Amino acid sequence: MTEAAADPVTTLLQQATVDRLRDLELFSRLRVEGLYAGESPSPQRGFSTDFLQHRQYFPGDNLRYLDWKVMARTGRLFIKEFEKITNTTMTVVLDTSGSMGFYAHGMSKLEFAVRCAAMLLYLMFMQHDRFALHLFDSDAVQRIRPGGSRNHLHRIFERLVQLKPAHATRFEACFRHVEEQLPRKGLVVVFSDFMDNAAVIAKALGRMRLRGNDIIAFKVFDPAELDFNFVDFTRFRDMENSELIPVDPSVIREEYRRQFQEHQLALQAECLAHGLDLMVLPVGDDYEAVMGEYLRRRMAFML
Amino acid sequence: MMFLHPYILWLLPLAAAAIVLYIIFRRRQTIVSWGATFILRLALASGRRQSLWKQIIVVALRTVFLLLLLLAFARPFRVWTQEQATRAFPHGPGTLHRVILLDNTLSMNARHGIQTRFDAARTALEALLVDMRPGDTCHIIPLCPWEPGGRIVPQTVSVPIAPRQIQSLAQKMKPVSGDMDFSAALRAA
Repeated sequence: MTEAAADPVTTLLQQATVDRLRDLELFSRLRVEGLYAGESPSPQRGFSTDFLQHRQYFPGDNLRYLDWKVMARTGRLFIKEFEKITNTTMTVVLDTSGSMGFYAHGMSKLEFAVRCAAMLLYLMFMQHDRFALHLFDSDAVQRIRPGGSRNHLHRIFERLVQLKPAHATRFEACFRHVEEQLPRKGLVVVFSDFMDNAAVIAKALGRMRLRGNDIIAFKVFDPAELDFNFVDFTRFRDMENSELIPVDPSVIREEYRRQFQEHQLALQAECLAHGLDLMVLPVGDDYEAVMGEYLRRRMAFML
Repeated sequence: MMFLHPYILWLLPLAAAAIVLYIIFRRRQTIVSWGATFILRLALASGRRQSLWKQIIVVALRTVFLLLLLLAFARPFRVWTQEQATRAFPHGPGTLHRVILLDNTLSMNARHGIQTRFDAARTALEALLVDMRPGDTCHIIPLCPWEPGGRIVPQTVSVPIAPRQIQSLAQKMKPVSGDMDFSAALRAA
């Protein structure tokens, strides 16, 4: 993924993908806190075009928003309140630990996640929203602050194409770190293989959710990891700490598959319990279709 | 226990091939970088003891299978005494002791159709021997000594006996020149 001379945007996104993105939208399902006028609802009430509610007039309120018709009918003074529409900030949190470097055919989990993240980032750029990038592995979290310009998009994409998976993952510490760095309520999109205790992961993400962020968790896995189609005795090298695990695959294959499915189900249940949106992404060539399908579903839910 | 093909027993050490292959493949493990080692550890932790037993059982079953296969090729059999047979199968038929008097004089060379009288007697003898069950015995007594001037010696056949052996035994019998000594044969019987 090191193409120094090439444009990072075209490296990660083909023109056809960008064209398809024009039909899609990604908004927060929760009220977000933005800086500028945008298309996401804010928890703050303002005075714009979308009527929200009436409230009693108090001396000092701007008479411009007094509802004269209501006053004429009832003789009481009411102020019209409108919903403040603001822009949102999407924070992409990307797991760059060693396990994300696994690949069976062509694309690694990290490369796949990077392409999916690039799609979302470009979508936010087209929506004139702000976006930030957080990369984490063991303890360290690298961060690119929120921004919304084309230069900012280029900066993030440049960082994405240079990524190399390394180190172990400590979800709890890293998510806590990310949580502390989130400037305001917004949309948080996490790409990871979530190879840890499902309850711990969901709890850490749930804390971000409790602070008012809309969380979308993308679990990336390679179908070969689920199939576990090995016959001979094999030493499996842990990609995070290089430890060798000798295994007779034929003996534990069923148990392994069961544990894999159970982990996925547990993660789904925990995410549901914490109000998180979990999407499972199997690595493949059709990442555009998978992400497009998800975004369309989410748009339908929002309507 | 006895074997029809005892030389196959020399191949019994081959049954250990399953164990040897198991050890060789264990040593020749390939190394694969794996992303989902967290799941792998969970699977191992939940079934480590079970998986070890499974491995041992699989190797043991393969070894036993090879052993049984080789033993089957060696064709084991057991000679039962009448007492053992009666104990094992209390309601089964008892063992038989047959005495067959075989006319082996030259007059048996007289031809009837496509075969001689002796051929017909030999075929009947073979049929009788084939019908014998484990524990049965049979004495074949020639009416004329096989060697000129010799004595009448009963030939004992006990089961089990391979059909090939029955055939070769019958083929060896041929009419001989000499007088029939019926009373000596009966005495021998």
